[in-house]
Amino acid sequence: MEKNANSEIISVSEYLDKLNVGLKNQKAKIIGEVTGVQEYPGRSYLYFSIKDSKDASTMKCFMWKRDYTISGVQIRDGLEIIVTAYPSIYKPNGGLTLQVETIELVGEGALQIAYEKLKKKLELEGLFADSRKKELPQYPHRIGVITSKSGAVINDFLTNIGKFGYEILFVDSKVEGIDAVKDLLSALEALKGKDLDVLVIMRGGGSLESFQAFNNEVLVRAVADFGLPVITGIGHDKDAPLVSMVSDKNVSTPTAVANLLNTTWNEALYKVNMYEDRIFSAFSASIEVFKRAEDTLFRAVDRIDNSISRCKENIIDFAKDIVLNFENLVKDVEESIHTSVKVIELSNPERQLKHGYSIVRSGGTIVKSKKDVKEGDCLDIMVSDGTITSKII
Amino acid sequence: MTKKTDSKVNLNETLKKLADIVSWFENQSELDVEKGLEQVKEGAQLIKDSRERLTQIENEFKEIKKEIK
Repeated sequence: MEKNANSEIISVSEYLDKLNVGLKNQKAKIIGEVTGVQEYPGRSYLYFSIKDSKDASTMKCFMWKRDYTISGVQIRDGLEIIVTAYPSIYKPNGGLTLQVETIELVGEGALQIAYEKLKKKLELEGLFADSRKKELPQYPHRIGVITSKSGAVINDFLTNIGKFGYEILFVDSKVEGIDAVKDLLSALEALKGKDLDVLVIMRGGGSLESFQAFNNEVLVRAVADFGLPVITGIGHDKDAPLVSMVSDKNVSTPTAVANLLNTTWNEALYKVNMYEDRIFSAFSASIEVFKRAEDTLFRAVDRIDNSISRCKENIIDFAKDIVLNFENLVKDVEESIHTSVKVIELSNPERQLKHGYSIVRSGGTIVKSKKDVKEGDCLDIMVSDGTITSKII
Repeated sequence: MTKKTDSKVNLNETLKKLADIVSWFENQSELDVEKGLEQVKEGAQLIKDSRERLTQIENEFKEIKKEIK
């Protein structure tokens, strides 16, 4: 059963606590002129008041030095500012104080002046110098990305980033207005020390006012000191946000960031494809040469086959010719001998004796005429089977 | 194991010598059987050498053909 609030009795302290819890929900952006700045060296907070320019209504403000520094606005009496704050009752004296979270300058003119001033200061420090810009890795692989998860920026980036096996560590952050500074600083802190090749910070285009976070000195210095190459893709009309000036490489859109990261990979891919083509062409040419050599070899094989066959035939022919020629030679010699035998046989006078002829010798000399002998000579008459001795009478 | 003398046989030279012997017989006008017999003996040796060398060549060639076909 609900207690009756009116019947409950609580202490002053408890009541103030209760009020402060409720008041915390009354956060608002309040515009006013700065008065009575109380900034004590060594203390972690400062006081000032903001006064309504129309009726001089005033509220006392409390702000932590850290938040004040992050805001990047140097307050002075009379400066018109917008504070993002919630009310709170200071318990020791019951006074109402605005707990200020951020301070913004009012109007494009003031922002422009602050922008130019900070730009000059950082320029003099050499923060934008080319000499301190870090070279992007040739083939970035692990990429830290800081931007808002809502909106077209991250989609444009992811749509255009190539399929090169990137590992993307995404940290969501506000990117609009002065409130974004704390978020962006936290995101940087979250990614600091991570094993990254490059950090990308992106947001879409807008007015100078909407870029306040990216002209914040603390954020600019945090980006400068990040330790790894930082690419920014922060769209703008005329004045480049200081964060983009301090980054190592700045392009105008998330698509341009993606293209920048893809560049070396695309070139590498092109080279790989080109070398692949060259290797295959060279290989095809080698295969062609080999095929031609193979064809020549196969033809040579057939020719060698034929040569071996011809050699075999030649050897057989030579063998036949030599044998035949020698046989003919021997036959010729035999015939010659045979002819000689016949001639000799036919020419042998003894052969005639068998036919009744005889050879007459007188004193060892063949008698060819009757004048060769005289009476009383002895004659040896050779017949086929012997010799007859006779005497001429 | 390859014979030591095998490497000395050059088939082309051997075939040329055989052709010379055949030519000798064909151009012979006188009946010189003694010289003819010498030529036949030399021819027979050359034919033997040629056949052996050709067989070697043929066998080597068969092996090569197996590898390339």
